[in-house]
Amino acid sequence: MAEPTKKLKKPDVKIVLLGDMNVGKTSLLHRYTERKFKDTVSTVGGAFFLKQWGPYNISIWDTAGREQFHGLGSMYCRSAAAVILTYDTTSWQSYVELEERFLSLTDTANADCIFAIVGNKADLTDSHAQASNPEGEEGTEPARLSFSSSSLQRKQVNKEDAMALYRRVLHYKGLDEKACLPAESMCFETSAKTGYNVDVLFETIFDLVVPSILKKRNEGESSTVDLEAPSTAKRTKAGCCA
Amino acid sequence: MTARYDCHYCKDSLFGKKYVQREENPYCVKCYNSLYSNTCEECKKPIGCDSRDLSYKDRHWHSDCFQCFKCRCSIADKPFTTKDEQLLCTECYANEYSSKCYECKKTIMPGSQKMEHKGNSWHETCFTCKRCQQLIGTKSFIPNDNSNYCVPCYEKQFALQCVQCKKPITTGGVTYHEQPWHKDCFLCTGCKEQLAGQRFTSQDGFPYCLTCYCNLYAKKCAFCTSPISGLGGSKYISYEERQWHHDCFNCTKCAVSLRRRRRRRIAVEVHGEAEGRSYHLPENHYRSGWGWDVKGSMSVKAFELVSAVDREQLAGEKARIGIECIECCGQHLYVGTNDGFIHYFLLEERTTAKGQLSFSSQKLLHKQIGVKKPPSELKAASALERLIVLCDGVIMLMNMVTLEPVASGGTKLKGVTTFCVNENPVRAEPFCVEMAVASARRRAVHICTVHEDRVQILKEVPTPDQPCDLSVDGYFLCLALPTRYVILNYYSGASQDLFPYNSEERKPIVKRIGREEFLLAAPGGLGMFANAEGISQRAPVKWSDDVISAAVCFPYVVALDDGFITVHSMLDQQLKQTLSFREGHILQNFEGKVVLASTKAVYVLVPLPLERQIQDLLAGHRVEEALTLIEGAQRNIPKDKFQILHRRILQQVGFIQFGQLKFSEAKEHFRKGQLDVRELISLCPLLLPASSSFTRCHPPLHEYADLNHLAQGDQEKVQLCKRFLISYLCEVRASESANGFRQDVDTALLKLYAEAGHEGLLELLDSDNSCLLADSVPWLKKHHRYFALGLLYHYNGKDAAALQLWVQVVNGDLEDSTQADLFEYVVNFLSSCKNMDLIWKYVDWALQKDQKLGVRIFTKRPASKEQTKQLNPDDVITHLQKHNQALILYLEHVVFERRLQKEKFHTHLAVLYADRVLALISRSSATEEQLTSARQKLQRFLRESNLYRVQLLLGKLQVSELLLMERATLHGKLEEHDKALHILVHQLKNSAAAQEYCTWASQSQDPKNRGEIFHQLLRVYLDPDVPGGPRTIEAVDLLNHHAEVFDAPKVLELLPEAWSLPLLRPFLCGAVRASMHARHTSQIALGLARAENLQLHHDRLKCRGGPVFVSEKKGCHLCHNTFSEPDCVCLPGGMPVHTHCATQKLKGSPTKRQVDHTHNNNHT
Repeated sequence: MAEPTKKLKKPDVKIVLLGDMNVGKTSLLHRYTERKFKDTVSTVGGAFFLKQWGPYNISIWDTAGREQFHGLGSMYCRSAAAVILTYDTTSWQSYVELEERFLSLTDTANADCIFAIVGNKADLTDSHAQASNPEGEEGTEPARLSFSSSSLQRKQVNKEDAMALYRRVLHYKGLDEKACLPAESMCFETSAKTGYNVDVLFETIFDLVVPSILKKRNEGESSTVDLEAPSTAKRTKAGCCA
Repeated sequence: MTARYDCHYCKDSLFGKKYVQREENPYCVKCYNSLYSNTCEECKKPIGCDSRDLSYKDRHWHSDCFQCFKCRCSIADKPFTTKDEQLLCTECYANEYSSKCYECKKTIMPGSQKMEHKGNSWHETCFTCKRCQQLIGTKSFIPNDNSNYCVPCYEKQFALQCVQCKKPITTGGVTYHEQPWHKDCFLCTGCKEQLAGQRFTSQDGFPYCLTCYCNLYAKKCAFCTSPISGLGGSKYISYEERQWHHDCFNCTKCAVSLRRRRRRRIAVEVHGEAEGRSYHLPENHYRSGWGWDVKGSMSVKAFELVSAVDREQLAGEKARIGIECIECCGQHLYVGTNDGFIHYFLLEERTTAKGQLSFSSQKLLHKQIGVKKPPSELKAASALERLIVLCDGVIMLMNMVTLEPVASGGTKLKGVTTFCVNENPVRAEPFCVEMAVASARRRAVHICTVHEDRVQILKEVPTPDQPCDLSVDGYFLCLALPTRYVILNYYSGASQDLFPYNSEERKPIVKRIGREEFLLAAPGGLGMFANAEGISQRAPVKWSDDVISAAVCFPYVVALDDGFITVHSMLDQQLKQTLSFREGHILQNFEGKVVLASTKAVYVLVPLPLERQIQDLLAGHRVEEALTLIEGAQRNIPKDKFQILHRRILQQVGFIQFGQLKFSEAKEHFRKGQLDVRELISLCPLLLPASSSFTRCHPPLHEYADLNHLAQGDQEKVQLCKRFLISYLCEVRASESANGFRQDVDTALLKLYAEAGHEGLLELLDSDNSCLLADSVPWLKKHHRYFALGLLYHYNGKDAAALQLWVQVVNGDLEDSTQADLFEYVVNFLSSCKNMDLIWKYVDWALQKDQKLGVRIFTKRPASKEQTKQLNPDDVITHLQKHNQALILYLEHVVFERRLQKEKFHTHLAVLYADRVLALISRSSATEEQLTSARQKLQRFLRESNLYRVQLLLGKLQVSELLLMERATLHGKLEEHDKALHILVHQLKNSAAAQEYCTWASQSQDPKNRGEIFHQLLRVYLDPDVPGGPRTIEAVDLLNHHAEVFDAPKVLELLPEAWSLPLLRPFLCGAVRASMHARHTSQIALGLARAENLQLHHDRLKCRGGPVFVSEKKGCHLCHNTFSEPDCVCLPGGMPVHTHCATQKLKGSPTKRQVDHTHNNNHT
């Protein structure tokens, strides 16, 4: 059998995007990687993207929000260094789902996993997010959104709710709130459409996962015996014979 | 009693009357009828008790009224049917409503067998083939023109016959020139390769593939040298028997496209869509069969389905035989069939001349397994020469070659549902194979080893539930349990849940695809990857919901479902290819060979030649995929071939990225791919020198005719590309990779620089370069880069041409502002020029332009003996006569810098200085400043130089009364200090100058003469005969300041008696002290000399003390040679040395002596 395991780059660390369907996970990732907002189709199963962050390779997994693929979630989360829980600011249900459906998936993530709560589609509720468009609208607006861009929708989930959720997440994971990153800095409101806060979100998390890469590498080094490296043992042996 | 026989309703007596008994009560007929009788559906009268009541589905009829609606005959005792609530006798029903046979037009009686097809019906006996009149029954048939044909007859009668081989076309034919062809018969006239699915074109009515056409007929573009394929009906341009691509036909001068210009001078002939026309093939699929069905833009033709074993070979005439399982091990192919046989084939791979793969299978053996059950799994252990067979829940071993069962000892495993062999066993015991076995109704997996003659259970691994399917790698078991997939480490027992699924909905799939990695069928039609840690490292692929089997053939996942084989890329998750495949039920990767089987035949899914796949990807600009593909295939290709291929692909990728203006990536790929940089250069029209032997690589590396084509006319992009090209060429130059075509590279770079007005041009021309003159000259002229052109001329040794050009630029005849101070540059150039003729030619021009600068031609020459010889100063001076300023500068150069000690030059210079001063004096307009500076120059020169003719100058300067200072100096030169001092003291009245004069004049004199000069000054000071009397104050000053030079007694003699002592005190003190000092010093010197004398005396006495032995054995202490003569010298210490050695030693420096001395000490 041809050995198919050859990889171009081996990711050092994994970040997983979780959230109900249609909250905009794929769009967020796409906005960050391609600097564009475009129509996406419902993600099938999952997809991932490799990001070079300094000397490290970070893989960002975009999961499918559809109930159908729910069973795969815990597998994606296995040994993830960070989980981005995403909801739609205009949908209270999407916020509720995070806790009901997705939180339990993170059981398989690393013990020191970082959590971020992200409310997407801020452009629909926040005129500030709507205005901030870093490099002009390049993507074609989907028809679904075009009518709403003129009038703001009612915001259903506030940042306070997100912070409350963050605290509950920590509680769920049995983490001490004081020892963890503060809720204010780990709750984001973003807009994949305008690019509002998207870079901030990803880059904050990249910076935060770097220590876990180093930790992993250290562990890796100690447990691996490098046969290629010149060993000192040889020398001592020779000395003994002489 | 009476009541008993009364009607229960009307109470009338029933005696003598008919009555009806109902529920124990009697009723008179009248009452009964009105109370209980039904109404006839037909006549609407009550059905009295006197007639029979027939009922059907709660409706009632008189027996006489129960008749056919149509023919009115009674159907009371006959079969009948109902239609729309109406009763019909069967005849009428059949006549009215039953279908008629399409063939005989008679009614098909209900209940009898009938055949239906597309709304028409036939009697079973009437449904026959029109040609052979045989019953078609349930066999397949083909309707044609209101008749039906069985398949063989249809083929004979109607199917299209291939124009080529005259045989009927049954699957996927091709129409070309409105004639049918077999796909296999429709070949390129040149290379005989199949044309279906390719682009092809025709010549003289014969089809050719693109490559052959290009090679045989296509004209080569005169500009870009690649063939003009005429693809897509594109036009080409022919002019004077040469051809160009449409996009390449540009004016060679100005690069403007000529194609739309029908000029008087240029007869442009545009060939229309003449012969080089291309067609897309319509592919007809007459019947269901397999063929290409490629969808979407992301598609790739990655595999081809090639038949390996067909039905006849396997089953012969027996219709019911179906394939149960297969195993392929190298060339050995085993097929297990449902009648309990194992068929053994030798599968040979053949490659046609055109690189197409085909398989020929040869049946070696078939054998029935003992039990009458079909084998459900086969696995060859080639190392053991054993075939492991799972049949009826029992694992058996067979000889791989003879298919003879091997009596297997060891443990018998029963109820086995499935097993799998560990391809990557951790405990690599030799001569055995490790496998994992799952059994029915057991929540465990057995790890066994298979030996030549036995199966041994190593370990029973308990599982949480009964495994349905399994795969093993290393210690890791990947299990499909009824509700979920798990990874189980059978060594440590650690288990890891992967994800849930429902085994009732779908059969699970677990395939090992590589080291510790598995492919699993996940709910929602997903193929999920999982490694041993239970992590998914690859994105899942979306295959169909009813996938039967799947395999990985990197980088593709191949999945099989009911009707199709789908190919998915593991790199981008996209569906790449769909192949229609009916009734497939096995698909497996056997050591890189993907084999699949329907119930009747075996096929091999052959990956298309990698090169072609990659080229397809590249054609779609799918760079990443292409690179991944080639790099993934590295291990499967011989190293040298891989390198060539890899390089080429890197180059192609580079060009694609170049086209997308991703320059840094492109550069990286060009570099890695070791691109012949001329490929890139040739993109820019005319950059390559005409003499270059380069032709573009064939097949071409890219699709661009030139940069303009690439940028689609966007000049900004063209500029970007050129800028990149410049930087890239620079790098190439610096590296070794341009070896062999330096000229091309340098010339191209020069052209680019010139065009862009880049400062690198000058740098290039200044450095070592191989720019071709013939090509570069017109180009540089075109871009008005005359300065650069001059440099190029110079580099090529054509200084005359260079100078001519530059002079033209300086004079303003030509325009080029590259070098702001070009004149200065030219002068400098001339100053270092070795060609005397050139110098003499341009020196006048230069001097006329600017004397000061111009003279540098001579003054700034690098000093070397050769130069001096060539350029005689006398000649130069003669030449410079006309240019006074230049002459002075030149003489200054000769005198001060080159320090030529010739009287002539010195006198000349002095005279020139003097002339200048005199001229300034005589000219009233001259400022004081000018005069002062001119005089200073003159004075300095007069004072410092000793070579000029003093008398001459003195004569010259006599003219002017002003030039006393100079005259004094000249007197000084003549040693006429008296005169000089008189002039200074009395005429100029400048005592400071006088003192200075003394210092200057006495500089080079011995102390005695020095004193004399000062004494003279003193005398001059004290001279009472001059007007104004003696200059006492100056005299005292002089004495007090220069006390040391005066001889005190003499001075005292000179001084007038009247002078007071305090006045002279500093002088006297100094004088006394000096004389004292001199005396003491001389006394000390005397003492020392005496001491030295004594010392020598002592040494001499010591030496005389003993004899000095000199023998031939005893060498000289200094040169270590032996003594051949008795003459010798004794060193202090009594060492005898040669006399000549001693002399040498004494000549040596004191330091050396010191060293020798210490050296000796060390030895002692």
